Amino acid sequence: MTTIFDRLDIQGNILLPYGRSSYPIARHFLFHVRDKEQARAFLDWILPQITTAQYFPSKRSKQMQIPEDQLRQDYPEVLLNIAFTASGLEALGVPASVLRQFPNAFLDGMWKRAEMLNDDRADWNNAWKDQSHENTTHILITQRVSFNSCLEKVCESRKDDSFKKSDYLCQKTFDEARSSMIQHLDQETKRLLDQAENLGLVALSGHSNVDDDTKWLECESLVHTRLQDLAIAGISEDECLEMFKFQKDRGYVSSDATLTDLRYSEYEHFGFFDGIGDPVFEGQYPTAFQAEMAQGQGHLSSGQWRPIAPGEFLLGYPNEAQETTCHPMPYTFSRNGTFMAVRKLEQNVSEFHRTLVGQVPLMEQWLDNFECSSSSGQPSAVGNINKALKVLRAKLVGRWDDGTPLVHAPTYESWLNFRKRLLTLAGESRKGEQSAKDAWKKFKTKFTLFTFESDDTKGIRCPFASHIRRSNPRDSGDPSLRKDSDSSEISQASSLLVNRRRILRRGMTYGPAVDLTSENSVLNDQNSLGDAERGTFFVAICSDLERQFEFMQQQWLNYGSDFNLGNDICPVAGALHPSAASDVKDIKVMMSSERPDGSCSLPFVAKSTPRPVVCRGGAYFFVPSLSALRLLAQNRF
Amino acid sequence: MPSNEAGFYQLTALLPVKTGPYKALSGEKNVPQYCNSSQSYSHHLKDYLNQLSDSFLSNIDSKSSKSGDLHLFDHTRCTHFARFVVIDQLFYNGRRRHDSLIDFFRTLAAGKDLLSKKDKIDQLESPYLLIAIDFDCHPSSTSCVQDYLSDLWPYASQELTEILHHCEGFYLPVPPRGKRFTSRTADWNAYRTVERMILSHEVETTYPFSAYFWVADKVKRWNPSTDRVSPSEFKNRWGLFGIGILPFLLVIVSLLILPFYLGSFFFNWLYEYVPPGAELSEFYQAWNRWGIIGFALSVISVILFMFAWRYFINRANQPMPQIKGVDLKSISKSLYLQGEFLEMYKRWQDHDGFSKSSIRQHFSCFLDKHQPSDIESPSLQPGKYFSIRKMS
Repeated sequence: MTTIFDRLDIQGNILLPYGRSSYPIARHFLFHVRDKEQARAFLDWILPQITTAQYFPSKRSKQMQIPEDQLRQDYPEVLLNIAFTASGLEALGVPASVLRQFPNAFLDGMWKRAEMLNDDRADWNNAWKDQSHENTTHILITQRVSFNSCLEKVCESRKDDSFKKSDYLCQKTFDEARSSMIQHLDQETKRLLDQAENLGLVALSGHSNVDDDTKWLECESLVHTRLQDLAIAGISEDECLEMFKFQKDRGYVSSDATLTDLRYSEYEHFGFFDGIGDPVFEGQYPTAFQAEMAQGQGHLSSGQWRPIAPGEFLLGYPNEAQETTCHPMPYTFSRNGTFMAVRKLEQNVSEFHRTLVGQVPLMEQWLDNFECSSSSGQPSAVGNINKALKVLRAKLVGRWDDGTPLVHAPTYESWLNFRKRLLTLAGESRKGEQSAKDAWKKFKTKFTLFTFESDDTKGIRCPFASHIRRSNPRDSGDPSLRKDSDSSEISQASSLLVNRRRILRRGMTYGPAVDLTSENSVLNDQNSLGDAERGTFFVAICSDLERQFEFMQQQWLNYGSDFNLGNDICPVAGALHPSAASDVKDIKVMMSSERPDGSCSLPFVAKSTPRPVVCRGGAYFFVPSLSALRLLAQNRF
Repeated sequence: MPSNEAGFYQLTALLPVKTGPYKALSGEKNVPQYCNSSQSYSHHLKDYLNQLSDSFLSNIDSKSSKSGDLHLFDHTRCTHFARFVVIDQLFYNGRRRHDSLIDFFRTLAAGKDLLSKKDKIDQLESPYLLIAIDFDCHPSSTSCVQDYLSDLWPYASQELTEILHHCEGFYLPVPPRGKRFTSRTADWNAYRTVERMILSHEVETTYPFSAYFWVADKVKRWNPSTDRVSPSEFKNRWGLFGIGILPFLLVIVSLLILPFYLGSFFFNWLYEYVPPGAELSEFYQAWNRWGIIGFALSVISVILFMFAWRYFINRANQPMPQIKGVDLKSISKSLYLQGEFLEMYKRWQDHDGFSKSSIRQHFSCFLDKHQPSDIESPSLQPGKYFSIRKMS
């Protein structure tokens, strides 16, 4: 039986993420409830404006063949979503008999459980601290406005620029559209804050990265130029130009395109393409589309991928153990709702980058001497430095900067080839031929479709300590495998250990971007941009915070025993326990490599900073369904 | 022996705790302050155990032990897990499920009310002390517990004596009137008592608390749609036949023959009442013959079945072979070596830039310093249990 969700009852961001280039700015407001009657009136006011999970009319919805009657009539201008902490539900007058049925992790809140997650409470912003009753976080409201509609208006007014969604734009058009979007967002923000103030809600401040008085945390997707995207592989400027010319000649890009054209990207501050491997679950996509999407992102057994059970991410549905995860009564209140762990993670970009740059000379030497795969031509000195840096970065994360998995492209050269093929196929498909489109679609699945146990048993391509191998071990650790398992058994490994530990990531970056294209820029820029706070507003959605989010953070990112790594933490997203933080100087990652003949060559031991990310605060929220919001607003328990 | 498996011994003992107010162990010199004369044995025992556990928690992260601290369990470095727990009472498990129709007829027959029938509730007559210790032990050894206790004794004699003093059946030999035992004899007596108590209250255990099987043992999953081979296919078919199928066949055969035997028995009984001089029919003679054969076969099959059963149980009771490298010393040494080796490699890589000439030197320094073949030291330090005794 396929699961069909009532999409009009589920909040928008849960089933599918909002487009990071269509809605590139999100403002997160934290509210404290003073008077429950007034707060209910506020909920009554906001209820009709909440964005649901109904499909937006778009190119993608056409691909998925969504019938007209299930589509939204319009493309929404403003997106609003709401979530509540446990104390927020209490403040709104949810009866204790209902509240007590919620799980412990949610009732405790992240502040009480910070120690378990290796967070140092001293680092937290005041807004998130759950200490005084005066300004506890009760409600989280996220607001976004559409970029495309602003862009369309700008293009119409200028007439010389044709409107095209999610494509590069010339600097001027981009800036105009962006400022018009921000203007629109400011209006909406004012409307929301005014209404909240009228109805006795206190907008909390102190969680912003700008100053202590701003009442919201603004997250914006990072902007990339065409040049930045072309040069992501660390190739020289001449090569970029050559590639650009090639693209123009073939007609992949329009003739008036320039290298300084901009667009909103999906990269995060360390410079990696983010948000690729999200799990796919039953009912998330139309049935015909689902099986295809589940490849590499679902539940793997007997070599077949199928979508994960919906109960892992939504309350009121069966989960992977064929149980309901937690179902506080009344059923209407919990069904179609879910939990959300929110963490403001500051990224120490310059320190991370500096640590890696410091290891580049050694890495170069290692690549020259022991990595016997390079042969293509004589790269320039600049190219070599970049190559070493790119290899280092890729081995820490498990993916190259553009998201290409190391399992498919283990060496720098193979990555360049992979990229070349990717860009060519993308260009061909843009011309509109069906066969080219199919080839492009098939090639794209490589980003998610891979396994560790069968493709990379010994961790030679993707190190055991790398970020993606730790946060989603896929088929590793299957108990039916052991040391002497033969290859046919290994190829049948299943994702048994991982199925119940997945999370939906809906995070966004905040703070100004750092230019990482040359290795010295960060060191020079320290006075201007280096000091500003930047990071990721991490959002994880799952139906059991303890079993899914907390387990992953504690056991896989902050502890390495499952990967035979002792106490080592994840080099990108792990955190040491505050008491141990002063003793550990660096985090080591061992990279193995193999000669073409299959024998092992000398490994390289890379290091990362002991605190790549610092948690500045966070909370656990309940994301209710629209029916539950109505219950809350009208207090009909 | 099920308690002794794959190189681990899972010692589990359940000892009833004395009831009544606590009385200090006779001859105890310094009675601790927490001793309260109106405390029950079980409360006193809990207090005492809590203090031991506090000593563990306060020392779990300490880098070095203070000199003079007395180790309890970690000195031998073979204890994976040790728990002393007081079980006050069993938890009520709820009513047993019955067939209400049968219940109805029963109560009807007994002429009782349906609700008057009460389930028997299991209860402990006194609190019990549960001792659960997992330690390394060679599978061939037959005196694992004795060896372990005698290793532990010099460090934990006072604690073990004090703990077991709370349990029913603990008594130390009394010296003859007017005389005193030497401290050596008293110690020996205490040891004998502790050993006797633990061994006589040991419960057979089949599953350890700590399992360090470094790769999980293969679980053969059987998928009926794809796999042709049934999961129960043994590698040793004759073994399967011998211990599984043969006894089963014998039972079937003896059950088939049993009616003949019973039939012959019946005819024999009839024969007793046959008037003298009457001719015995051929039918009866045939039955009688078959009956004798049937009886003999039944007896043989029962004997054979008993042998097969004993063989089966003996096989099941044999400890699994020791798994190499899963004793506590090897585990802590290998974790230690893993970290130190990476450290050494990194130092060589950073300072000497992959120069092949110096790797030997680095490696020999590493060998000298960390002694990979010596599992005793240097190694990771486990969490420390210290005695709560005050050093005199």
